[in-house]
Amino acid sequence: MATKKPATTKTAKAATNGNGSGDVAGYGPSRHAQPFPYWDRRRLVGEWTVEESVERIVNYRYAEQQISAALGGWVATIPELDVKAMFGPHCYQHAWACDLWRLRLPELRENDELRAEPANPEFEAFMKELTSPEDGDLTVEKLVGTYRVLVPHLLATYTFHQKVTSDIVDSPTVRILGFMLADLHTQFVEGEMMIQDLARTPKLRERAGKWQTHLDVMLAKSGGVAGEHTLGGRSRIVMPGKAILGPALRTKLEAAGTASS
Amino acid sequence: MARTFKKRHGAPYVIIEGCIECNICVRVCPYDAIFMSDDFEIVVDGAKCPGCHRCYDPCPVDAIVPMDDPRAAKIRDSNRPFVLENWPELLATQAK
Amino acid sequence: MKKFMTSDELARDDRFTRTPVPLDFLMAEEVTVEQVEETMNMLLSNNEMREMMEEQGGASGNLFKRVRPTDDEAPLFIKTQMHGIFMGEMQALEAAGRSAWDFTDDKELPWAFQLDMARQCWDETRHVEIYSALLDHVDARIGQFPENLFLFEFGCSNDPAERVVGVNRCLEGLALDVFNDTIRFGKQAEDETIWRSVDYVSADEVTHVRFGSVWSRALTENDPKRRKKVLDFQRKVDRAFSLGGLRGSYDGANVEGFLPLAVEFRKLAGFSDADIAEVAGAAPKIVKA
Repeated sequence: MATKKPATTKTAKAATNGNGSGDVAGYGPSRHAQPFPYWDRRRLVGEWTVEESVERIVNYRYAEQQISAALGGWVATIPELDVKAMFGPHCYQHAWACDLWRLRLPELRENDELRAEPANPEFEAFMKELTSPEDGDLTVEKLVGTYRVLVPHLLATYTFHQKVTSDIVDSPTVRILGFMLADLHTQFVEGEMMIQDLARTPKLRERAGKWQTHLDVMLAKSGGVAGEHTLGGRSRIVMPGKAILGPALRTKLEAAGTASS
Repeated sequence: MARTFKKRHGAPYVIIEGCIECNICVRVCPYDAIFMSDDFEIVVDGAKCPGCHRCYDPCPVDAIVPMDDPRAAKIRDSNRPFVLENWPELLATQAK
Repeated sequence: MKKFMTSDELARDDRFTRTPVPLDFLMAEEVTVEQVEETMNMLLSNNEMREMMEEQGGASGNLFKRVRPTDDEAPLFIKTQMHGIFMGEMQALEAAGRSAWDFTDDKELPWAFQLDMARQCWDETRHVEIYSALLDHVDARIGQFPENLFLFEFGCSNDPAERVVGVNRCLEGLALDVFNDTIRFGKQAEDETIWRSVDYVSADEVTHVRFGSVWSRALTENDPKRRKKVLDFQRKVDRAFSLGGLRGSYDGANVEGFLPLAVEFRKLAGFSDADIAEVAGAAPKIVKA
């Protein structure tokens, strides 16, 4: 293809939009836009540093790996065919989430992509308790632990993560969180429907409630899947519209007369 | 007890790339000509295989073919154990 | 939840009935006609099934005959076939789920192992759903026939390399074999629902067998002793899954061992000479020495 002199602002008047329709304001070379469209309100800086993100992801991986294995193990212990058939796909969805986190870790400078660690001993104890029901008549406990305690907690945690991390610098995380949240939403609904269908008697509802409270208390003691700050607690969030230049850099730029006001 | 053959039906079979080691061919072979080696590889003993074709259809990934199939070229030239090198002559003399 | 469970601990609702795992029969080097008859009667010890067989003039030997859709035994054949596969898929689902759970303390086992087992767990769930729909399709119902747990019993070892060989290579390999028959039957019957759905299941099973091959190799890498042990285990399970040599003979293999047995068995079961001749005709077309 023959090289053509690119249309610059100086020659914009002569430039066309390719259809020979002549110059149009805000179109073609005369459009001096940022990479972000006007309505894009994403933030440059999010809640966590790269290292802090890694630590959270390592905690998420632990929870995902544990619950995936437990759902697989439970399949054989559950007499209700519809619950068996629900645990199968959910077992894989959590394993897949765990694997997506594995892929993300090296992108965040973590060399050990297989790291999966509980945030603290309390969360480890919580997961152990959640996965402890074994007998065939404990289906309600298995369902409640998964779909009323852990899955809603992961939904909240991942939604929080998605909202407070930077959707510019950390957009790969935001994207994969979207996949996981879609699965978790479906799981939450399917699980709750199964619980309501299965635990129809007051006695079973009471049992479900007791087990839920027991696990919730343990979860609260741990602070959550990522420990104390699972759902925030640090006020380091840069709000939209606020200046994001550091003071030293701002001073230098102002001296050079290039800082925006 | 496996049968022994007296007549060759066609070229002996070989396992080509893509074998998933499902063992179906091992089970269906009436001549015990197919086995799994100590290295977990499915092998056809060319000397025992009369080319009866019994293993061909059940293979779920089309990874077992006769020696005279173009897909077997790589194996034919690989000098692997149990590959019957003089099969064309045998085919000529043992077929009906 | 504990690691490792036995086949008799598998949870079922009360529609299901079980027959004992015929260990001696499955592990025998050679089986007699009497043993086959006794075992088959035990495996099919369900009044409804007996009645259906009597109504259709068949016997337990039907299970080892290549039935065509036009045969009188076809309805019973396809119902028992679908139910047997449904139960097999359920045990495969449970086995895959346990593989994802049982070895989480094994620090030497790569993460990808658990991922593959979880994937298989999802796939097997679909298969259970598919075969339950196919049970409806052939007018059979869940729990109509008894279940035998020999697939889980033999497939599930406490060693992960043996587990993948038992479940992924032997059990899933057997499934591929059976699905070939089902697809063939569906095509002969011009029943698209059957053959098109089983076709997809069969594709999944190829993936599962591949998991077995990849992992059995990886977990015994540079360890000939372990590899030998795993291979011995595989031979044991394969022998059990061949149902005393009867299964392999379904496609006409193992002729010397099976045919006389099958003919004798069919005589005992009251088969006509024509039926027996047909069985003999299923053998490979090989000129005897």
